[in-house]
Amino acid sequence: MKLPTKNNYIFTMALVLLLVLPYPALASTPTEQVKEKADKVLTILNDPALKNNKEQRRNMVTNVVEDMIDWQEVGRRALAIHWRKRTPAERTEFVDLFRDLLKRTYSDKLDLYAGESIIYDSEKIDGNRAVVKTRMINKQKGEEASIEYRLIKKNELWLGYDIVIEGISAVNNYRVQFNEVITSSSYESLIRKMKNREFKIRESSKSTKGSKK
Amino acid sequence: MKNQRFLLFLLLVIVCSVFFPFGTGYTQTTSPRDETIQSSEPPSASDALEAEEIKEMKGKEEEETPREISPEQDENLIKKGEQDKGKEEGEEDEEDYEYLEEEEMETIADPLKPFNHLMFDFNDKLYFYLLKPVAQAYKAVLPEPVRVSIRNFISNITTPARLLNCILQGKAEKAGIEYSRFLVNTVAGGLGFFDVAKKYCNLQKQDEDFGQTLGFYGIKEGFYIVWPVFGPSTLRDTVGSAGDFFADPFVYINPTTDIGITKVNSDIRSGINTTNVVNETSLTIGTYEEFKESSIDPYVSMRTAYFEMRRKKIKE
Repeated sequence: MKLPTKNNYIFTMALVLLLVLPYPALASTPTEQVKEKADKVLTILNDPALKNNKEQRRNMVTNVVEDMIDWQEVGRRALAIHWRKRTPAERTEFVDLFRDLLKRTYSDKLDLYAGESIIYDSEKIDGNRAVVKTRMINKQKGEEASIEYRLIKKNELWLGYDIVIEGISAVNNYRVQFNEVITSSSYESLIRKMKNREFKIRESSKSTKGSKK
Repeated sequence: MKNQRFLLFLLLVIVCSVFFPFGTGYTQTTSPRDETIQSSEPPSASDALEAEEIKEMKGKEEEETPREISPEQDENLIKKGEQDKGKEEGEEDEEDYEYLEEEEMETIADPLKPFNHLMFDFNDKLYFYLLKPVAQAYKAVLPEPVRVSIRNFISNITTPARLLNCILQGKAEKAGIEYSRFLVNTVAGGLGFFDVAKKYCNLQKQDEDFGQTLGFYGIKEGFYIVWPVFGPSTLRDTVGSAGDFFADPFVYINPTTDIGITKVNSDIRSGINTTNVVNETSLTIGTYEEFKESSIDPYVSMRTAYFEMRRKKIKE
């Protein structure tokens, strides 16, 4: 027996709702969370209206990405052994400085975007940590780069704490740099350097893009 | 000239035969590699995760009871002159040790640092004052698809080195891929100008070089060297580059043209190399600038990145 069309419609809606509703309640997988953010970023980057307004584009992307990163964890890992010697106030200062540095350098990289797409390869969950392996593909140039997101679970949310591009871990790279500066001079000089850098880059981006030190 | 090259080649063969025992067979030669991975390689992401997980679990189990501090950790504590260890939470302590371990792993031998730093600065200047302007002019003349084709062509004619290294490492599948890629791209891809093998057959380029082969057989990295023009390398990878030099077919092909007054040696190889460098730079302008802006100490950052990248490639 054939159902009336209206009933059919309601039935379909119910089915759709049934399929859709439970999901927000469940914790989504790391890949889903990365994908959700990455898709948002790609939509912004592919928006032709924003192509000429790079400043706005950068800000929009930073806003999307910012809250999916555990900045405290990033800072702690980057300072590593030196983290413990810092007072809470110093830690907050450092995390803020480092966040600004990362936000700026990675949002600068957005300008190099040229229609790349992302492929999600695999995901590995290990307790409250997860690794999502992806590849970024540039069809035009036929280039491919492996990008690995490392995430930590905080309040049912997966937050990023490291990004590994072509085997090169960003946090690890900074850790070695910070360690070098701290051991060869001092923590204070590292903070000074970070503040200086901030200032210099702001200056140089105002005029032409600085290429010299 | 020919004699000289032959002598160099002979020298290389001798060096190689010292480095890896050809006669002992494949099964035996792989074992030293496994050993080095265990001893000198830093733990991979997942390994580190696992280790951390186990440590954390242990930490939870031992939360009430006073935690044991191994002599190693104790030493580190003393080294750091740590006073407020009691204030810190157990979990954080555990993780800090993990960082310590990682950091010890990442220790990179750099006895030539003053020289290397000088070369790094030299290469930096070379990039901004010579390479970049040239690449920019080149970029202005040739559209991107053309430059990508040139890259494909060069990549195709340098197949022998990659293929040879796949074979030397006993990676049959990778060698097969490189071989097929060469055939497909040379025939169907218009002498390699188009990477049809990747586009239609999903055959990816296998990035293997002689430095990786040496690493595969357990040769340690040695120390870090920054070469003028060529950039970051290690002792092992420098030997590797010499090996790759001889795997380049254009070392042996050197047509001489008689232009009447004198004979001109058209050095195809250096022509290709120069084109390659300029072409690659034109396709990656901006990357180095971004790298420099993002780092606090570009020299250290590049060194760390180089080692990490090489270690990953050898693992693959």
